[in-house]
Amino acid sequence: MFFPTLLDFLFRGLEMSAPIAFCALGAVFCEKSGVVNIALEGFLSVTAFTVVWGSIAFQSVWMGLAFAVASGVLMSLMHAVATVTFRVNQIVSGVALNTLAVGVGRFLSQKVFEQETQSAANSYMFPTVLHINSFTFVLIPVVAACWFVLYKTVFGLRLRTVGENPEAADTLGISVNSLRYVGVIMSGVMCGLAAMVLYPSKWVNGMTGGRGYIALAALIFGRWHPVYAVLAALLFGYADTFRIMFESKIPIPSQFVQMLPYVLAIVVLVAVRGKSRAPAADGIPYEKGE
Amino acid sequence: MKRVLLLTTALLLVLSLSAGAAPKYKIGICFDVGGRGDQSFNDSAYNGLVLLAKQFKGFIKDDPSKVSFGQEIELKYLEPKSGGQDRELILRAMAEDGYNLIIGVGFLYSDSLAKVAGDFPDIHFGIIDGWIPDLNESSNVTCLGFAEHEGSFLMGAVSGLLAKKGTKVGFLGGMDIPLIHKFQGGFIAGAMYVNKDLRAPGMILGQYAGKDPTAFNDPKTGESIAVNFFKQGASIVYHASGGTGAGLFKAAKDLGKLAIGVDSDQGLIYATSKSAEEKKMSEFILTSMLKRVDNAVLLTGEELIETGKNLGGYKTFSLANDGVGYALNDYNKKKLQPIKAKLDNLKKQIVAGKITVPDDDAKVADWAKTAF
Repeated sequence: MFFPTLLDFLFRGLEMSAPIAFCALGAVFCEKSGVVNIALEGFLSVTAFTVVWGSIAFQSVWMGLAFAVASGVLMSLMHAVATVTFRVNQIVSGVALNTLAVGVGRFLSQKVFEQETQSAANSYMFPTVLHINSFTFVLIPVVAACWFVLYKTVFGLRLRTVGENPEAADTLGISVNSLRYVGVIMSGVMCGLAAMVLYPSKWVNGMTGGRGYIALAALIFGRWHPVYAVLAALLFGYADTFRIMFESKIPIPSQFVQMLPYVLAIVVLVAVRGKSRAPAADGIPYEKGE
Repeated sequence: MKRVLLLTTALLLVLSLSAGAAPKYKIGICFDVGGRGDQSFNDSAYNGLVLLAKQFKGFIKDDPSKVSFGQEIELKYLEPKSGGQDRELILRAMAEDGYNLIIGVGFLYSDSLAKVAGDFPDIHFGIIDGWIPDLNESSNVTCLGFAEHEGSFLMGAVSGLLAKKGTKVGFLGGMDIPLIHKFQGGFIAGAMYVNKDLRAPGMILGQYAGKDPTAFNDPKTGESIAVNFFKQGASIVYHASGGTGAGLFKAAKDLGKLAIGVDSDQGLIYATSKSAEEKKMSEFILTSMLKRVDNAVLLTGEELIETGKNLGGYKTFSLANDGVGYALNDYNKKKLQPIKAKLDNLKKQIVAGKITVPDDDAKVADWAKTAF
């Protein structure tokens, strides 16, 4: 009984963590390029709708994926245009997009499914493997790819430079703005992938439940590093899974279990203080010098 | 000039409205956000108006479906804007329009309704699921609550009677608040009452989706909990978790297990949906715990029409007055047929006071000592 339960826990936890992990990866790209993105929650709530919409409309999970990624890119483009091109305060733009996203989901649902708070059910999904959505496993190669791109390619080096020292990058002839566009758009793409795991059977208004914000916490806890950020996301996801699977079987109050990862995050952040820092130019709009 | 014109038009409008035979009573409801077509609360409240119209030869004013059985009473509904920020405004509009009884649907009306009721002491107000403190019989507000634990007891009984031997049953709650524990208490009690096997510890699973309001709209967590229940050996799971329950229905369909819905007849809604996937899911929805908002509206309206006034205070809609119950429709009647007599008998016993249902899962242990 112990072993199958443990396996169950491992897979279920992976699935519960995956949406947070994908979002966190998106945030890594975005912030590495120097743009703070607190609109992940909003991106995710839009992509969570479009994946269902695309799948049902075209009767294909791949179209759902395409819709989710495309809508994620669209949302992130708004953020990029506002913050990179027009140098709007990145927090303000993020808040605005989060607010917008709530309305977008409800509006589209009313138009497409004639009900405002939930969509129709969708049967076009990636198959279930080991009782979890098989798309969850895509997370593993994606993490590896993100790490490789960021740390082993010229593009990654440039992206990180733009986030650390845009003036220097600019002097070397690297286009700060276009790299930042790519960084922001990557966060939209990743939110599209996150939506594939976040219950793609039906859209329910508010179903993101703050996962986009948890992803931000994972990003900071993971010290803006793709692998660590994903590990942090797993910690949050597994803590939640532990609660829903074992809450009734353990004598510890569930609130305590739930708060553990956050306490741990604070402890670790204090312990590694100095080493954990955001990219130097993160959050600062870049204005080309004369 | 413009103002004069406006005033005249307004006057003309008022005159034209009052020109016909004046209805004896005017009853209005103010919907919760979502409005008509939500397949849940609001639609149920609307049905209450239709029942009133039928019973007392009334009509629903400005109704797209033109419900009209006579001119004796006037019924009407209004809907707040999607953010719900104009709740107070629509209550006030109805009050100024001379409605005798105005019912707000949903606990979110609590604040605005208390305020408006204070300004219109001659009009009676009702609030579904809401809570306004310090009311008594002479107040002009009635809080219309439901005995969800009694309905949930029947859901527990359905699960206990239909669960295959040796399998468990489960309860999926939304947000961890006293209201939902009321559902859980009733469910556990019902399951234990009808099925000895389920009285052993660990046979009735229970889990809440979360500790904040997002727990009512989190199908991902709902699905995870449900799959976990089913893998632990549950064969039937009852949910009281709003949108989170969508995850339960999917899990039940995927694993070929059974689910029980809540509030409205979710099995019927899924079975009659345009979506093929929802039709498929409906086969795995055994029944639903009905919260009869329509009956609450009907009975409150009836009280006004038959006695000329409404008593203030707190009113509970229970099994005794069909305020809660179980869903029986064309799609699930075959499945429920073998146990229907038993369910109706249990219902009778609860109504007669022979079975008292605990209204919190924490009270079940004490209750079990004397119940069977």
